[in-house]
Amino acid sequence: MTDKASGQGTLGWFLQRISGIFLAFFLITHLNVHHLFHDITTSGLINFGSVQENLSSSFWWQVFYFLFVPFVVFHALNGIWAIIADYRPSGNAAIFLRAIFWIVGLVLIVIGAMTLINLFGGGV
Amino acid sequence: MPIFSVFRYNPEDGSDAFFQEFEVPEKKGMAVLEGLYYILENLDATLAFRSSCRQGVCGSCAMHINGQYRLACETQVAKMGNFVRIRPLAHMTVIRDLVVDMEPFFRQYEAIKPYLIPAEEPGDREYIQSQKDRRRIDHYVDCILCGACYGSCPVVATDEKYLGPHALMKGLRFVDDSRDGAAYERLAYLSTDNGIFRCHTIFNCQQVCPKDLDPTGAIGKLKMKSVWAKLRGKLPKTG
Repeated sequence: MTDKASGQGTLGWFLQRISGIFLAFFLITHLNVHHLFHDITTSGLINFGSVQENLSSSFWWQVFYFLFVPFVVFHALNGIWAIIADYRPSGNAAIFLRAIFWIVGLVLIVIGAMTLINLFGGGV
Repeated sequence: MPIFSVFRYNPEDGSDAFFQEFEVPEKKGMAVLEGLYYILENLDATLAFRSSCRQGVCGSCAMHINGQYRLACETQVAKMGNFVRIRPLAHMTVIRDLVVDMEPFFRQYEAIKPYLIPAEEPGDREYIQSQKDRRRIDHYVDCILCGACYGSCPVVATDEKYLGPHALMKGLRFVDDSRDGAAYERLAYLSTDNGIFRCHTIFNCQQVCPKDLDPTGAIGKLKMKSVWAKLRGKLPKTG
């Protein structure tokens, strides 16, 4: 067993499954709350104001969505990384791509967080 | 009378590969391998193919028959209809006709160290294993290394370094063997960029295995074992 062995795929594979399970829970909850059980005859049409009002009703909705964003970003980028790994990027290319993924991930999380802060803070 | 359409290729004469058709008189209970022998002995003595035991044990005659990788000796002509198209195993260089160069296949197999690595120095007597422990590896011991799974695997098609379903399943056979003392080292090697995490759970290997084994399931088990070993800090870093 002389080839290089890093075990790097193990954690990535495991976290992809864990984040996938969380995302299933997040998405089902999100769809139920905002779309499936929204009765337009009593609650009116879904618009920015109604969503804002709905989400601002509890502190736990804020926790929920601040967790939702990083889980979505991680699951998406880790999945793309798994595809790229199949093409065996060389050492330098892998480092470069990892750096790009970290930057893109952090930027997406910051954009998502800023949107949520605006939403919960009452801005548009 | 069934038509055998057989892949022909001879790199020495410089011509392109083609399919040659032969009429083969069918007998009751006739296997595809028997048909190939009929062609060899009566119609074209230059046809090249591998075979040995004729009873699904040696794994020499795996080939692509009517859309699926099968053992020619276990495939009934009657079940194939009147037209039997035969190609060699995929993802390996064709040496001639239905004979491929199995070197990459066995190189990947050797890479997983397919022999016991005991934790202690071997004693004077045989290794003792309980019947219960033996049953854990019963399924995987049955692999005859025919190459049907290797030929059917799309990951092997695109990645020559990928260990392949045969080697990974044999890897589990040794990881799960109670007499073996190198389970974590094996798991570390199987978890590298060439190993279990390159498998995309496509199930082709499981579908074509002539011994009804489950390489996909074995790779799934290895993934779980690798995760547990990693979480418990027992997955050694090598290289």
